[in-house]
Amino acid sequence: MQGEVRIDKLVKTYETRQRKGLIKSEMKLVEALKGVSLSIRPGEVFGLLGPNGAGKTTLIKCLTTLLLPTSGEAWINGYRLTKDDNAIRATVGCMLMGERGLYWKLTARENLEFFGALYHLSPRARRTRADGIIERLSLGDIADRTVETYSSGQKMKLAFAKALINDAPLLILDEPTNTLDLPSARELRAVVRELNRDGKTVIYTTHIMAEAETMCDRVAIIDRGEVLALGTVPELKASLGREEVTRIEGVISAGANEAVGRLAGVSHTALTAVNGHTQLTVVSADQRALLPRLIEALVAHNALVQKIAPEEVTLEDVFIARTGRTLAEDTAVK
Amino acid sequence: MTANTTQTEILRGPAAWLSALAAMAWKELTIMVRYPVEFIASFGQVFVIVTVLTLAGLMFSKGGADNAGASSQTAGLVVYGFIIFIFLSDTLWTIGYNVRREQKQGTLEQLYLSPASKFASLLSRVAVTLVWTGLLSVCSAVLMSVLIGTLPFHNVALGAAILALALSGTFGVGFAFAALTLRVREAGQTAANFFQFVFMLLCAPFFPFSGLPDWLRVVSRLIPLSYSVDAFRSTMMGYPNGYPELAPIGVEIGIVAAFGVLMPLLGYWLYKREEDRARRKGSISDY
Repeated sequence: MQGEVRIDKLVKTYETRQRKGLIKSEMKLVEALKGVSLSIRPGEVFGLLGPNGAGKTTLIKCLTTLLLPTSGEAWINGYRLTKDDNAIRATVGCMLMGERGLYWKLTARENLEFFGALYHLSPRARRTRADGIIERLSLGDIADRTVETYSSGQKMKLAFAKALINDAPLLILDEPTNTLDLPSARELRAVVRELNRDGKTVIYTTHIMAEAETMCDRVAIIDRGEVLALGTVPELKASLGREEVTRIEGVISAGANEAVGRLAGVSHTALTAVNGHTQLTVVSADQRALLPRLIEALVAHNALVQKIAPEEVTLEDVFIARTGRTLAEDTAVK
Repeated sequence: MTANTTQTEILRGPAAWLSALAAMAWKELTIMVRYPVEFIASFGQVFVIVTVLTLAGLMFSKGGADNAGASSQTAGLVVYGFIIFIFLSDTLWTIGYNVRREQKQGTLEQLYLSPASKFASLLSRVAVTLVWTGLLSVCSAVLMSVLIGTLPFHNVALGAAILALALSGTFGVGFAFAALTLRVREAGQTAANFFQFVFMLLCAPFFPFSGLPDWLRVVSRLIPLSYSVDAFRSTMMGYPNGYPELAPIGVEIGIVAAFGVLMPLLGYWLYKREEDRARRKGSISDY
């Protein structure tokens, strides 16, 4: 069915060479996807949320036929992966690698028309389609300048425009707002919502929790090649049960973090650097009962506390509760 | 802009293939023209190379420059060898280099995201090479004949057929080098450079095979490109005494024809193999 994606136990392993000095090296097997299974319904915006290195891009590259999976199966728009690859390519619009993937010596219009030809559009259809996209994304002022003269944000916008050239029922967008300033990111998200209202299914990867919360009908939290949780945003938040989140800002050492993690009632903690200070996120069952012991543990480890506050559960807290890490931390795939 | 693609908007079959090929070739030409300094320099440097090679060849030829310059046979030998050399050189550099350049800038990945033919993509680079190198080789041939002597023109139709088969084989070598570039990246270009010099020595494009030591001529006979050079220039020179040098012309044409048909198939097979490997490893967009 158009716009539908079904993934069944998809596995991707790589061999990577580990250098041992000048000449010696040994091969190491990396499991980038460990039997991922999920279904994406036609017409939904489906978020893939996870830190860098979690396996989001590997999954997307498999679904777009760029990578051959090691095992498992997938059906995209009703076509079977590895069997009907050209049909999949024709029916998927894809934005990968941000501003890379454009011809910098061509103009936006020339780029769009060229990529239209790769999707076998007739010359007239290429021109019409390119004009429509340029108008929709307000690229008119720069459409006839070579891409090399564009700002980073303009290149990202053109990369997004390119994903629309084949008018595919399924759009796959890999971190599309990376490097965009806030107004441009907001504008791009609005267009994605419009396209979704027009009936397109969207797969949207991000490591920005707020973006996933506002954009996606359902979200899969992915880490170390595995889907840790899947559901609507309210469902995922509710999955923390009666657990609550306390955030402490200040100067907090790793030792203090460990001490808090050992306190009774604390299920997870995560320490991150935010705007020049550290932030400790504590997921616990009973915030009120925990607070005196929490402060005591912090003081005992010379923590300088600037702010301590109970907070609403976010998708990031769901991630912390399941992994003990924050989305800002890169994942070392094992 | 809903999913409203009509049947008339999408090309199918050979029309789709040819349209994509034309768009790819046009894109290559457009980009080439938009690097004017590189465009002019690469055009100009060929004439400098041609002049240096020609003058050096004349200096060391029997009887010196005066004698050699008067000889139409010398002109044919060097100019027709040069034409094969310049096509081989451009093919080795252009196809592999372009594949690597696109890999680095991320556009190769975009090609693989689309249903467009990957063979058409390789062919588009060949098309550009044909236009560009064809122009260069004609201009160089004129310059060389001015420097050395009048070019002999015999059996033009057969000569053109031999050249076409030789170029087909050369493009096959280019596909194989594109495969090598996918595997070893920049090192593929160093290998192309090495191969180019080996060709200059063993396939004797600028001197007769009789100029090679006997043991080296044995190695030359194992390389199909040697027969392309020998058959093409012998035919265009009207088979003067002692030419072709490596085998009777019928045998040479047979070898050139087999090379012209089989090498593109082998080259493309190698490229497909390397492409599959890159899809397994995820290295299609390796920087």
